Amino acid sequence: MLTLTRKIGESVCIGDDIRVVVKEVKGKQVRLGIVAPRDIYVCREELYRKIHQANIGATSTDVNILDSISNLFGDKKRAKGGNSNES
Amino acid sequence: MRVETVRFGTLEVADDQIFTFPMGLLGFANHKEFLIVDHTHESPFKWMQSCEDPELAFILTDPLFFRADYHIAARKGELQIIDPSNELDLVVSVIMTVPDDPKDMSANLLAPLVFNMANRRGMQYVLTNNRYPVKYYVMREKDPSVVDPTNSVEPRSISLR
Repeated sequence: MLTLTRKIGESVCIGDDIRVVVKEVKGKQVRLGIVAPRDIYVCREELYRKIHQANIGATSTDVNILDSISNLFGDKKRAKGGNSNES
Repeated sequence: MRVETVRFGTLEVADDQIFTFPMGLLGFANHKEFLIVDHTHESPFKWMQSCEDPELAFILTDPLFFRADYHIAARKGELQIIDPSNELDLVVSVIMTVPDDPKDMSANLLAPLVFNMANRRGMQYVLTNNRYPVKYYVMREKDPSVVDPTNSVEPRSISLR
């Protein structure tokens, strides 16, 4: 891992498009400002890992499973009037 | 456009049936184009099939289907990648995870998908307020709110702030 020392207000550039600024240091906490292109996800690592894992876990599904889960919901759907909205 | 899939064979689809995810999904940054396929007309679930990987597909549903109070208030800037000029064009779906026992299925309410139906763009929107879980077990939870069938106002699961 590359380790750099920066002062408050100083930045690190990652490639041409990403800049990380040290905004504030308070005890053991550091506030960072991030400038990145809009098509890149920027979020806390815990959150990123959680969602990443959920997405990967959601892909292993066979085609028949949808019949079984749709049936589980049959009654509820009718109770709500059975209208299906787009997406 | 021709889309190869392991579940549905080869599909011939019009370009305007494709949704573009400029950012991909978290963990699937390279998958930018998806096709949305209804399961059956009655089913509340849909497939979101990658146009680039025949094996990659997700199950989607409308979060209001089991959480009538589900709502996200997104800042316009956060959705800029899908160009959200009109709030009414936005549609929210959530990704389902279905394990071997379908009763344990869960919905990812923490990171819903937001679609702009006007330009057919989509993105995964990450909620940072921790209001909703990444695994919402839809068969175990009691729907906290009851949908009033006499209410003529269509509930909206997203608003811009």
